[in-house]
Amino acid sequence: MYEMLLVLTLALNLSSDLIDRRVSRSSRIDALSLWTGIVQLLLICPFLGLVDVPSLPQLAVLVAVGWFSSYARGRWYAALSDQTQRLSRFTPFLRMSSVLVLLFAVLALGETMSERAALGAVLMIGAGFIVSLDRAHTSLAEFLKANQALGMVLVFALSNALVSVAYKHLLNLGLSIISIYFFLKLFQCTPLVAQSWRAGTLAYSYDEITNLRLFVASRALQTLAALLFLLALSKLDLSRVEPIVALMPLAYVVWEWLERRRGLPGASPAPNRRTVVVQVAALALSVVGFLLLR
Amino acid sequence: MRSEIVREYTYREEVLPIVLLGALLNLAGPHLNASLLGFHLVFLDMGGTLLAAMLLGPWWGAGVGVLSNAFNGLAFTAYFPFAVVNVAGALAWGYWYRAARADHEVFSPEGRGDLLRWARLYLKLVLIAVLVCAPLGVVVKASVYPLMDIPLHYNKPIYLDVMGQLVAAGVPLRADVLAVLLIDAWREVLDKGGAVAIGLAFALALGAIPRLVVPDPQRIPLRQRVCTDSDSILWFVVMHFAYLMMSRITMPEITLESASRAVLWMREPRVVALLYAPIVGGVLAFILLSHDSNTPLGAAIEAARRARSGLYHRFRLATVALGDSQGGAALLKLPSFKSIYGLGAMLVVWPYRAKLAGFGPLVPAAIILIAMLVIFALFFAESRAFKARLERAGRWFEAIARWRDLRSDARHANGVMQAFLEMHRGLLSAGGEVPRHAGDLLYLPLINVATSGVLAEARRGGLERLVVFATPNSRTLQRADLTTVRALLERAGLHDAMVICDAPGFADAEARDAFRAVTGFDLGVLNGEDLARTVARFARGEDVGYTVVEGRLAGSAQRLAEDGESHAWRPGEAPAHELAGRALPGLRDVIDHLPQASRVADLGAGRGRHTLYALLRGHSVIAIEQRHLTFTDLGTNVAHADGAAQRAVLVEGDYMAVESAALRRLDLIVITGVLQHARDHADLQRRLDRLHSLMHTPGGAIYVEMLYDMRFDGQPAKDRVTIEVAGFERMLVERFPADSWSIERTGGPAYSVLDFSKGGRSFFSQASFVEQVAAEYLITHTVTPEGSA
Repeated sequence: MYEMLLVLTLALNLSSDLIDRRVSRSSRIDALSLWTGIVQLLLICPFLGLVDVPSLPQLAVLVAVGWFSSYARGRWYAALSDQTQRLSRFTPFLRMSSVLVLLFAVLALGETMSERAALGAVLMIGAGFIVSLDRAHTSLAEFLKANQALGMVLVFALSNALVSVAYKHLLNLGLSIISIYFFLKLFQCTPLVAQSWRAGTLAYSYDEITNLRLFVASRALQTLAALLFLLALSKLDLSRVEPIVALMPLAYVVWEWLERRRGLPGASPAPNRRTVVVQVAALALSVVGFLLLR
Repeated sequence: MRSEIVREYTYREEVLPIVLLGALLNLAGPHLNASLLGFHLVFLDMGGTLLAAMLLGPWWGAGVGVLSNAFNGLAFTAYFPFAVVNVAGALAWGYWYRAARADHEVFSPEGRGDLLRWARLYLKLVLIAVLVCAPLGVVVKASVYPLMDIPLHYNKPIYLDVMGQLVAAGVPLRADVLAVLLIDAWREVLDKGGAVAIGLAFALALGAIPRLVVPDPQRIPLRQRVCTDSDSILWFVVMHFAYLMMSRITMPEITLESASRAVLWMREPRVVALLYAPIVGGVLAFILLSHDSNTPLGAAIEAARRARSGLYHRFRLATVALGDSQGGAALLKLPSFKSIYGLGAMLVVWPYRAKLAGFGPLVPAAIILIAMLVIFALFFAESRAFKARLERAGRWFEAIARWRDLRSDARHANGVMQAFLEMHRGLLSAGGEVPRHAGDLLYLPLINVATSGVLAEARRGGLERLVVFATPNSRTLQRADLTTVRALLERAGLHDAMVICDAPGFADAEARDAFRAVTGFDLGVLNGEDLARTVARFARGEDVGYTVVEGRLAGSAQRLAEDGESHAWRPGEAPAHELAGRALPGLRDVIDHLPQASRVADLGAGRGRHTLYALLRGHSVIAIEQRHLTFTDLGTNVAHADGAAQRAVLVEGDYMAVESAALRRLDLIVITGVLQHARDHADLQRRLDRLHSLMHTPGGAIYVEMLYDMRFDGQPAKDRVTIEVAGFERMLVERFPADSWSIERTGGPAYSVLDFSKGGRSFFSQASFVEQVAAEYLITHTVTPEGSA
């Protein structure tokens, strides 16, 4: 039953990403980041009673990770708003967060890395590299320009990795998962609100989000997915969770294929043969690497 | 079609007073009952909730509910969890009120004095409250009491008695639940009967805010009718957050008398579910039942709100008349609703009233009661005065706008004359006289200036007695008209005249001399801008008056010619406010009166004088400039605007081609000194089409400065459209039809020579001297009954 809940979580996240892609293309990125932070915080406020007060060092970790992840989310929206990109192209880079988690766990938390995990990491890094070669380039400058969005996704993956490591670290210190979640949302939101307040755009900046209803629906889906994921995680072993999570990249590819086949609005144009081959190879490497990593 | 945000009310002038008043009523109810009335099991804590739900909408009502619960929770044990009942009551009242069109029922002219309608409304509202609040109250009790090992009936004799009777009667359901439900329903009749009476009394006294502006609300589909604005939902969620935060900090643990233990109530899953319910409701209402600007009702509500907001801003801002040095801080505050601060202060000091308990049980209640009565009385007095002024000023502003419209005629000149008369009622000896026609002129004979008061400045300018003339904007005064003026003055034995005229040519020195030559008299001139300032002064409660410049009454239209200031700055050299100070005066006035934090597009922004002016006024701006060098200067100048620069989006390119999210929703488009670059009539038409396509916002405006007959060092420009004033205005009228646009000529046509010999200012000029005839237009996107119903 909880496995089904996990699959539902994936579907919710996929829906949220697809909605965000549509909304972000004609919205102001700053406004998206700011209101994502605010809405997500407001959506979890009924859990305030379950929130414990962290110690000062814990608070410092939460502030730092919260601030960086709020910045990284802005980069994620900027990447999504790039109309030359497809979600499936981003996924190997998003998955890179697992490699980074492993790296941080080894460096910061003193964990060890098995040979199998190292192989998985290499495969995933290779997948990311392959994906960046799916377009022909004549110079380094052109290569960098074409993959600017991937760089932004990498920043987002780094922030996801930091969030995961922070979770693990703070859970080890005895802070509850809902407390970590709440304070992360709070500190993701705070710098953006302060910045917007200073600029005098706080009260009305959501006017610059193209379709506010879709945007709020996406936040609701995302919050629901997060809460369901936490619930599933509390009931299932990681060995059951990870293979299911590994399905996510494939879900993007399948959806984009369906979009094109059905001619849905906003569907990206059909990629050429080279792109298809490169992306399938990258995704396969990414999924295998991810499973090895775990 | 793109959907824009619709807001029903303005925060400061409309929402804040009602929310504060509502919260205060909710706070006062339980305390006054406890101290003075002493009714058992009655709280009277939802009168303010009803007031806000009726006047503002269900989610503002819910916000008042949680806000007051947050404060009441500090005083009453176990009060916090019952906020959800207050919220549910607000939503039920608010949505029903809209669905049933109850506002039109009781606030329409025929319904307002009909006590029977109010009585029917009272009964329905009480019934709704009983049906919603009683069962939900039982649910809350069932969620909280068992945690403290307290039975649902709380061992109270009244519940036990009814429960015993139900058991004896063999009722198959849970007798304890049913007994509590029945008693609570009866209690709600008393409680909500009182609360609804309080709410309705205050609503009747305050009157409705004009939310619905469509002529026939019967035709609006139910789904649109019950829609609310997304702002109210957002603010409710924010207030809910504040309430939860306050509960978490001040009362994480609650206990009741006879409870076996205290309980961390916010940690209980059932309570968390109850607390989450309003959030889920809010999200669903936001997605499914919030206004859409594409619906007729949504567009009409947004346009009406913007119009009111513009009026409020006119009252609040210091609008300094020409040559008038006053203004500034003294005029910055809205001259109404000062008692709002009293309401806010009462909310803040409320938790500390227990400090007065040492003076006996009745003293705190008496002090609070007296303070509240005084503040409420002040509030109502201010509210009534404000609304009366607002209504009159709104009407006068409309009269002035119609008079300045390109399609205006003598009928509208008559309107502005009537407005002028009304404004000076009691100050002019023949104020009630009906205007007459003399040729093409409309005039009011024998109007004598009062010996003291409002027109004292005019008298100092040499105008002891006046004949007031008005002219339609679409024409200018001719010499023949001046002859008519002289004949009328001579016939009346008068020596002076005041002319209301929007043609600046009439105000300039040449025309004035011509008039003096023809009539031998001096003359006062007022234009639309002067009249608007006079209305704003009236609305602020000041004396209406005029400023004397060079021994005559003067309008500000001549400032068009003053714009040609000779000093030139290098980019970044001048402070932002100095560059902004060079914005066109007519446009400054428009920007000043935009709603707070509006969105402005400056097309062909040049070096950014209008961009900077709008930024410094707190608006967001997208500035588009095509020339690379000018764009670089624009960037430098905007960067020097410090914090305001963050609200600017600068785009290098042709405004005909640029696509940007920042162009999506605009409140004002500025296009000054740009359209004359069109190559030919077809190109000019395309540019007007582009402007038309960019402005969707109901109540939004386009400000155009068109330059005609330009000569550069005496030579006409090449490759540019040749068009006369009348021809361009015909194009405007065709492209912006009267059914959804108004077009005011706010300045010009005025001839001037600009000196660029020391360098360009807003643009690079290849000539040292540029001759031009300039005219300015304000094109406003209106919402008509046809377009809205």
